[in-house]
Amino acid sequence: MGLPLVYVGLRAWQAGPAGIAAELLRERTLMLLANTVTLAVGVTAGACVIGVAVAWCVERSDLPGRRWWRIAASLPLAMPAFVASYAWSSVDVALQSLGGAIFVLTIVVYPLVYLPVGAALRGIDPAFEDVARSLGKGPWRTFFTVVLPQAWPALGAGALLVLTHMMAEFGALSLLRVQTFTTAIFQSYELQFDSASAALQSAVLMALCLPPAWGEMRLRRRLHVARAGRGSARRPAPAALGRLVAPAVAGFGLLLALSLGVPFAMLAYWLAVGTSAGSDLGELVPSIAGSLGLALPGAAIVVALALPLVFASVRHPGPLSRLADRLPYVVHGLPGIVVALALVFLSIRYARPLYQTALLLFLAYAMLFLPIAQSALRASIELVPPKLEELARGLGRKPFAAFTAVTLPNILPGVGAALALMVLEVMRELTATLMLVPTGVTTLATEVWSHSNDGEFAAAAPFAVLLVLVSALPVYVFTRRSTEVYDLQ
Amino acid sequence: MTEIRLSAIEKTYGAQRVLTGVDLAVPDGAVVALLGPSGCGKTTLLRLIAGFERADAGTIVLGGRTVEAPGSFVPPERRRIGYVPQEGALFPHLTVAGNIGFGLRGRDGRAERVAEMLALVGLAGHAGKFPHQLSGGQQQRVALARALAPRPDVILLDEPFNALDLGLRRHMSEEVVGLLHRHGTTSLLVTHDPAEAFATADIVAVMSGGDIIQCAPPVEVYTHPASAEVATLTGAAIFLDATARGGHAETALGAVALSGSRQPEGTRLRLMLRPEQLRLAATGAGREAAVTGSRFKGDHWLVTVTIGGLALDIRAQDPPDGTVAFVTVAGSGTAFPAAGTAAPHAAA
Repeated sequence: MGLPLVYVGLRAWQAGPAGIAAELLRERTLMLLANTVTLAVGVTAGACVIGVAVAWCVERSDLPGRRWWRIAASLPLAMPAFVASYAWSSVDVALQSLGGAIFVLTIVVYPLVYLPVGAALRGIDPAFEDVARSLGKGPWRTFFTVVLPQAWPALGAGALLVLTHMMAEFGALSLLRVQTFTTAIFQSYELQFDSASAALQSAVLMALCLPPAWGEMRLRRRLHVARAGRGSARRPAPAALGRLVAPAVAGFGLLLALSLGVPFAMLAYWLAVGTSAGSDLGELVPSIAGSLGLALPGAAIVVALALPLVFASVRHPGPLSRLADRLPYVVHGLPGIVVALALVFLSIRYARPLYQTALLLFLAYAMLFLPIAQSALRASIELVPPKLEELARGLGRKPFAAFTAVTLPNILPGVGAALALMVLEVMRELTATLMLVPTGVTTLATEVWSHSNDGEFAAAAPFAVLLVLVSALPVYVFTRRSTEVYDLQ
Repeated sequence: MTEIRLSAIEKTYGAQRVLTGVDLAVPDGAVVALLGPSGCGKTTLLRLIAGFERADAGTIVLGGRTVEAPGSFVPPERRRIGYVPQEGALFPHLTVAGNIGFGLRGRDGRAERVAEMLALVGLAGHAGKFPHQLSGGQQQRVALARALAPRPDVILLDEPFNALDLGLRRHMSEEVVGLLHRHGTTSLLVTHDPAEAFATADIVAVMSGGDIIQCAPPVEVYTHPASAEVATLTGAAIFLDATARGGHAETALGAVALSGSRQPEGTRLRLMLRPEQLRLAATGAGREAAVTGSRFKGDHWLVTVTIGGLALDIRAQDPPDGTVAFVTVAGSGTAFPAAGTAAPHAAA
């Protein structure tokens, strides 16, 4: 887990203090910093405004068809950011700018705010609002003094997640031609694999990413504690939108048209262009094989690593297991590009045989996706209380026999689901795959990126379409799970 | 002066008529219990008075102000009410002091009022705590202090002690209502527990099927229920077939005095007695009954006896002695029309 730190430290030490100062104080570093922060903060702010508004309309107002909107509004997550960027950048080059990137990414990532906030709004006992109204606060005051503060951990966690994602985003920004730390690191790497600039830019990027990742982890814990054992007796009466119904419906329509309609239309258009130009769908086969060949073992490795971590933290809570449980969440804040770069550098320097092997890539997947696998497994492991195992012991089974007879059969469905989720997550991963994939292997994600990076929009289309279809499934699982978890409360 | 006046309140959810024309007048400073089974509309009625929902028809007057009438509606924040919901619903993000001060306007005197309220509910020194650090009973006291702090005209309590365990619940309901009495605040308390209603209220309004079917002081409601339904909703009741005979009712247990207006001679009746009116003795006066079983209940025994085809469970201090006992009836019974016949005065 410390590999990226080792890499940065090592490389920086080689550069020496003068080199560090020279690199960091360059005007270009300042420009990158301004771009990265502007982009991340802009997207986060936009996603918060859209996410909260959507969540409130869907959960608390009498918006017509809100059951349908509730699901539809989470669908943009199915569009990997770099696929959406590819689609938009082929609409108009004007979108290949900082403003364009903020726009495109905001409408793709707002569900990361909408989903937790919506769940929180659903979970808040409407009695709080009744009490606030009875104490003399009007509807708006009530929303800001009672509802929002209780949804705050959810909003904060969602916002920090967006912030971290945006600082670490590479594919979308590279396609939209925005200069940030991630794209700069990639450029430096392409010029020279052990560039000092890349290492120092990585250091700055890590310094930007880790605090929000840590904050998000802390907020999520509070989220968990805050909703323990509270039952809402009554469904809240939805607020009447009145004259605002038409604008609200129009807003939802526009949002979905922008976040899903336009990208899908562009994909369909380029697909048609490509087909009429007689492009060969047989080209898809090697990259499908490449995607699966990496995703299946990669997912298995990640889940196998996550399983003991989750078990330790659920069954034997203690400082050490807590650390083991949480550390990956912090590491998750590390940008994929930094992780990949560190692995490239260290393997070439110290483990040459590993370089250009799939094993190195699996290591990167483990670092990037362990938290997702952990949270996917945690729910099913928590469902099997130690009591059941104790019961089996009481009925005469030895510890291992009790585990295989009682616990294992009960967690297998959860493990299967986690595996499936990881396969799909790995398939849509771009950055680390792009940098670490063994020579000659292509995947759906790398093909989309390289074709559209070269402006071959039609050639990228079939790969992008497949990728979107593959991505829709984890989104479905994620959405269903998040609504289930909160509905259970 | 009347503090709460409801006339002809109606409310329908979809196809379900929840309130079917409720009238209620609560005098200034009184504590009224709305008693009824779940689904009878009592909580809905409370929510309409609070203004959380609108009535389909009818008017609501609070403290001389019409707050709801056809075409006019005062929102809850301007009704000067205090509301204590089930389980308290303390704002989890605010301290005890923050909760109590939530409804106070301006800075002036805020701290003093919060301290005064804390002292009133016996929680001085807990100001800085958060709700999750308090016990269930303490949370309810803070919820009450929060509702009282802005000096509302009316306090509305929606089954506020439901979440507490039985012992604490009785204790808290008496303590809270004693406090409301001393404060002289007009209060409306929703409950499904007859014992709680009797122990706390000046007036009990019994609700069923979307209307108030009797509204009277607790003793009146218990001893002279207006209908067989009120009788069963307000406690255990025994119904006997009876015939009116010279101011008495002739029953399987012998002649029982009738309360209320004299019934025409020979009318068939349904006589209601409370279980504690039946007394069991080993010897002496009363009807002879066969003892068919007994159960120990801690502070009393429940003895099952049969007289003819009639089986009765009777409370007794001692276990039955032998297989025969004598049943007597203390006090008078309340007569209702027998099933399948019209009301007596209509028949007469």
